[in-house]
Amino acid sequence: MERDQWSQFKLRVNVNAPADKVYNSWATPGGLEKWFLRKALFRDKAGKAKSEDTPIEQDDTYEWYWHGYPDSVVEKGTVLKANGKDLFSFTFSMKCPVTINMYEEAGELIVQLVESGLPLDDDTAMKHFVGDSRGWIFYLANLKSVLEGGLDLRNKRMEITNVITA
Amino acid sequence: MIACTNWPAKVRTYCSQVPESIDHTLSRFTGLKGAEVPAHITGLGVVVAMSGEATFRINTDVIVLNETSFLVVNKGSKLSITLERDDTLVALLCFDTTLSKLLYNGLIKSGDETAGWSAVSEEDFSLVEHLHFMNASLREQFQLLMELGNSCASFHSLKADMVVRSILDSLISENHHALQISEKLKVVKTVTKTALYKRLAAAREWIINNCQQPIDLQQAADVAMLDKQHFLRLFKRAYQITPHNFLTRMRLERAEKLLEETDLAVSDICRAVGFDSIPSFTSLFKRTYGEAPGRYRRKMRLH
Repeated sequence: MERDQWSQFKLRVNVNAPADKVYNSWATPGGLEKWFLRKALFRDKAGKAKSEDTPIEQDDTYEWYWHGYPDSVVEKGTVLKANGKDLFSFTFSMKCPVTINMYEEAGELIVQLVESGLPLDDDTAMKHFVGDSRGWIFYLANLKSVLEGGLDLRNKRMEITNVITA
Repeated sequence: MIACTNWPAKVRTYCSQVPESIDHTLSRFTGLKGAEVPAHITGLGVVVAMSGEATFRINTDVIVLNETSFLVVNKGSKLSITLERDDTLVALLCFDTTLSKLLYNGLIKSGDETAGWSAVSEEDFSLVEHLHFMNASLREQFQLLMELGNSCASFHSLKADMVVRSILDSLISENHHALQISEKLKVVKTVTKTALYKRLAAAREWIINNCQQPIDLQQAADVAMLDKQHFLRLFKRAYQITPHNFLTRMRLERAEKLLEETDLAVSDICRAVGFDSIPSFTSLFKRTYGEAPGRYRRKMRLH
């Protein structure tokens, strides 16, 4: 693999669900909490907190809290794009942009995630590439599971640690 | 990401120069009583004894660390460790060198342009390089880091970074506060200023952690290793409050928390926070919070 190929990764998952439902799973606080986060707090540019079904918009900021972890484990970032239909993008680990595209392929909806701008220095390149892609693989699988069958695969018990489901 | 390593192997690689790290590292040290990590130069970090007890030599100071305390080590300090018990587990979190500078600029400089920082003070954490009382959240954070270090959990390195960032935020804020307080001492010589600040800070933390006990000025001055009157003057100059009034404030803050969060009787709270007399407690509480304790509790619960 060329060195700069470690700077981004692309993951795709097919989801048998309506496009607007999939979009809202990414672009509303309540939607994110159904398959991804324990608590998703979004604020608009004026700093006002958004309710769980309010659409997330460009320049909103977020605080994300995880199942299985206390509130000291919080990821903060910014929404880069949200077109209300099929494109949603935000800053994530190390402020790297993550872009979600949704499009149809062979009669099913494809959710495509690209995380780019990953650091390439020798000490940390692998950890970001492997760590982040591995995390997203589980959560994209859970997105599919929740939307298609209603089964949430996340571990929500604090006493269970070191599992891929949290 | 936390690279969880055993300490002695790591130490050999940077025994004589300040380690530059582009990532955080968590080093663990266990062994039998008497086991040692030899003297080496350390980066900016936090050390905790997850269990047992260990003796640390930092530059010229000798500090005994146990489960009730933690230690901040400054970048460039000379550190050695001796385990004092067979069950001791020591963990040192060393921060990413670059991140600490970036956070400093983001947290402090953007919000406070008036403090008059020198380039030296930005990276100097010598004021907070002393023993601190352990708190539950830091212990939980270290426990999490040790678990995440070798975990298969999703986004485990990202989650570890979040924890480290939270610890570093607190450390930078505390250092910023320490710099401001130490300036108030109006001592020209930096070495003297640092030594005095550390003594006062130790006494202040001791008051916070023992405020429910019947403590007096002499005991606090002893913790600071200063003459009683000298301690009183310096404490007031640094913190703009006398030790006695500070003690009262800590007791009242604790009482307010108990009133809000528990159903304990006011008389029990009075004793639990260190007051002897209920009338005196009631009067001080009312003066500070505008209501007598029982009334204050009812009002808080209505909201």
